[in-house]
Amino acid sequence: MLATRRLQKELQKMHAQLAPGLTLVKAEDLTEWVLDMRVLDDNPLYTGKTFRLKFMFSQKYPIEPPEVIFVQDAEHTIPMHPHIYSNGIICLNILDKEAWSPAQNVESVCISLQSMLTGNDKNERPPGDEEFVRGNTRRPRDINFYFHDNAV
Amino acid sequence: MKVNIKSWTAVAAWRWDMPEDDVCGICRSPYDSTCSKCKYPGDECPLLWGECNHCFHAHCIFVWIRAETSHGRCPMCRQEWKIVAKVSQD
Amino acid sequence: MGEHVRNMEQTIFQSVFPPSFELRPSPESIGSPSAQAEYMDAWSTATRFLELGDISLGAVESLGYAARWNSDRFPDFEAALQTLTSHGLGSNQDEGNLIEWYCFEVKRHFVTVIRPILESEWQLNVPCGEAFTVLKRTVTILTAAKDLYMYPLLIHVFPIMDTYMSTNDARQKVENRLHAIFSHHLPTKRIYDALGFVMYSTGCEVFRTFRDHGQPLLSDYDPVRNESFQHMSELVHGLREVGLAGRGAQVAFARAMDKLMGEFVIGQWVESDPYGQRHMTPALIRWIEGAFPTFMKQVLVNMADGSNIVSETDQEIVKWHEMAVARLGKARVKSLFDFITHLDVSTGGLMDIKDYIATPATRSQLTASFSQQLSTRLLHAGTATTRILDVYIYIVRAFKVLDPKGVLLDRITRPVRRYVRDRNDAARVIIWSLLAEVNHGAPLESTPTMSSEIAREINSLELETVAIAPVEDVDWDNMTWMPDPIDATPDYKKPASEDVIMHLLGLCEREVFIDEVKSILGEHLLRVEGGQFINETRLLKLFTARFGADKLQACEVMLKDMETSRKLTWPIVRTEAYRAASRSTPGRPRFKTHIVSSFFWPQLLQEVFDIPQPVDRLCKGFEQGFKKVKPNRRLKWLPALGRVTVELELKDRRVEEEVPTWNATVINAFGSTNSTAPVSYTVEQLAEDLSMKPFFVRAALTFWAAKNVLYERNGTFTVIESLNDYGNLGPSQPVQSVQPAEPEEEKPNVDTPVHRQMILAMLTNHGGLPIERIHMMLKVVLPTFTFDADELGHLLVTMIGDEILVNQGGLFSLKR
Repeated sequence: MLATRRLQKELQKMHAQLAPGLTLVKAEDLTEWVLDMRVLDDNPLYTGKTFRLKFMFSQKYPIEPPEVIFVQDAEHTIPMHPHIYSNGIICLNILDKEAWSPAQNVESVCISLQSMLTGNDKNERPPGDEEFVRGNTRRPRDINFYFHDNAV
Repeated sequence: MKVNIKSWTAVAAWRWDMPEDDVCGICRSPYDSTCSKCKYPGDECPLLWGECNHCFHAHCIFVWIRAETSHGRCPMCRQEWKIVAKVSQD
Repeated sequence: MGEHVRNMEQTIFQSVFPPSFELRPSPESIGSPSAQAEYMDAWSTATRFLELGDISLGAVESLGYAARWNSDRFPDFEAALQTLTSHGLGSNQDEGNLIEWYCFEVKRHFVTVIRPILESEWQLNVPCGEAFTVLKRTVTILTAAKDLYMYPLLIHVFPIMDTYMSTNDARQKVENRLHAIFSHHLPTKRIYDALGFVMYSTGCEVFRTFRDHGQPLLSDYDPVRNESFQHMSELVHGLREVGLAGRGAQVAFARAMDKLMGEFVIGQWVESDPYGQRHMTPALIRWIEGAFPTFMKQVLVNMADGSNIVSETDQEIVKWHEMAVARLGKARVKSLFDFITHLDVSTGGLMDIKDYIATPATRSQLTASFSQQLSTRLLHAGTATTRILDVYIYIVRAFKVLDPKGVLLDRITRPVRRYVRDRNDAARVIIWSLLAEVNHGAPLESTPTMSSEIAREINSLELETVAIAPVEDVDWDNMTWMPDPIDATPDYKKPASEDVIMHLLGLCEREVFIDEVKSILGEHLLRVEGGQFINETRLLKLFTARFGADKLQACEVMLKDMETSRKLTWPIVRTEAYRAASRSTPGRPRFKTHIVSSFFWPQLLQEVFDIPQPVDRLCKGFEQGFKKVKPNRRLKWLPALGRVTVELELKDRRVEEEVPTWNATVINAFGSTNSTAPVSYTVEQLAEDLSMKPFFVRAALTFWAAKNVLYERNGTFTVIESLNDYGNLGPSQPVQSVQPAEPEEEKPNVDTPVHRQMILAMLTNHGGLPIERIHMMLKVVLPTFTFDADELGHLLVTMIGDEILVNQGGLFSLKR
């Protein structure tokens, strides 16, 4: 009930107004949404690229955080970032159960991701990316990242 | 001409004593509305203030606090959540 | 059979290639000359005997057949015949010779002598009333002719031939030839038409289908005893005897019976019962299975030989039955609209239709015909919305009888639903009607804003629910009683009215309806004094069942607020703060406050103005009390809402009215404690003094002017202390009434001075307002303003044309 109401309200608001660089692509139900994101500043790693995000909500949203990953398809790639694995899984504190707060919402998560990319100049994947991707069968929410460095 | 007012039925709207038009951070509904589960506003679906000065629908904050992952923290400011008691007379 | 066919062929052949007398059979050539001479002699004797010449029927009759053909006059005839016969007249091939010759002779005579007589009978158009007479005469003549022609054969020729071979066949053949000659040379089509008419009108008389003759006859009447029937039977028999009762006649008969049945069904019954008061199908079936076939069989027995005709008829009765029910049903369906609008009497007609719609084809016919009736008589711009809704309710009730499963109703109402969606006042009218107060026992009429049928349904609903019998009370007389389903709860009986209301709600689009409910319910609750709101609660339950609970949360809260408000008031009025205020208020008006939850009530009037001092004190006291009782909350007063009962003591009269708050505030300003000159104000002064928008000031002043409490001159309003003075006051501005329009008025006009004044007042000192806002405000202060936004738009456009207003980007404002 809480999830339904809250997601409906977020959707209403996003249809009316969305932060710059974000586009709502698909939101036909209250379980899975797709948004496109562009990085606003002139970061050579990401200029001219549009990235696609998939949000997945459980019944316990917003008590539980949504699962968010980058999507790769014919027109979209996974951005290069030391906290983003090549299968789209994201390592961001607010998306983790421990640091999530219901005060966040879809839009604020996207803005955080924009900011994470904007401030990055390392054109690399996280260490152990290949192994991780090869062997990974777990869903993002079951993965516990230890947040090492504070500089993202 | 003498004017006698024999009866006067007035109408007044009540709202919570809050800054107007704010929403609860958890359910995103206005404070003067109900939480997502209640039907009737008022004493059955009251507001709760924390010592950090943030306010939520009582039912909304309960659900959050009950979850382990909240660690008893206010969703807005991450400080420890402690209810400020506000007494009402009935 | 072959003979018959051959005769037919000959007849057809001869009709194309008319026989000339030269083709008349001639004597054979036999063997020896002496035999030939004897033969020729016999031939000429025989033919002379049989010659008919140009003898007329009359002559023969008076002379007598025997006188003409007897052995004395023709002594050698018998011998001649013997001779011919012995020469093979008897053999099959030649037997036709003399007979053939005679047939030709008959034909010649017939054409020359008889036909002209008949032609003169049929020369002119035969009026229907004379059909029987003319036919009778025709039959008489033909019968006489046939007797004439057959006489010599029967009396003289066949007895002799009989000794040699069978004459039955020959006789039959001659008769057939005769019949063929008759029918070939007569206007058979017209004869059969006349015959058909005679049969039809006899049937009409037998069954008394002529319009003024009272009740139609039913099954046990024996048509044979009827005089006309006997006459007709004789006629038919006579026709048969002269060969005119064959296929042509049978076709005419079938047509006549068909027409008779149609006349019977429609002419006699349906047209005499336009509102369907009688259920005719059972009586019709009894007739179709009883008297009607009896009649038919009697006629057929006379027309044709053989009992197979009769048994065939029995098989056909099934078809007649279907046809009759279909005719009746179809005719009834045409009047379905009238039945539906007169449901209190039309049960009979409805049952007829119910009997009719047993097949998919007839059901389609019903839907097609009724849809047509609806679009012509109901669903067009000239019909008031309340009328459409009233009729819709009738339709739902009627179709419950016609088709309990509801399939037809669904199909029928689709076009109605589509049409109603375009009526933007439909949702409002429905809701107002559902909320209407009904005085039980008083007659209820529809108004432009309320449908009486809807109001009736919702009020019968409450009666039904209250009267639900406890489970033990079984209706022992109810022959159609069925046990409840096994999982039914004790209060299972769903009132019939609930079903009708649910269908009504099906007309409305969800979003539109819910918005209207919210705004109308809000106004309604605040206007109703006291009461338990039982009706409103029940209504809300119905709405929730139809539209779902979450959209209607606001309505539930509104209802609950009314109750909560009462409960809250108790502790508040007991607080010291309130008591103090109450004590110091002169006049002690009855004071009540509705406390509403601000988020859930629709955008109510937020207008603010000063209210009379004593009331203001009470409000402040109340507010303080509230703060004590509910410290977490605060109150915001909505002075524009609420109702006031105000009493005015004038010099010569008392006026008491229940009015909105701004009306009371304004008139309060005109009060004075000493009897000096009557008080006067202008709109601007009052607006200033009361901090009230000129729009509301004007609305109030207009109201009191219409009640003859104030009058206006040159923009100043003054109290009329005594009605006698009114006459001396000189010319005043015309008082425009804000009372509801007279019922006789066709369609109230949106362009009136009052409306114009109000709009001007609204826009004074205001930057610009969108049309929705203007519309809403007018609806609030003028209860009679039932125009929709489009109509208001017309007025605004007119005012722009009059150079009073301008429209800038959708905002209307005064032209400088």
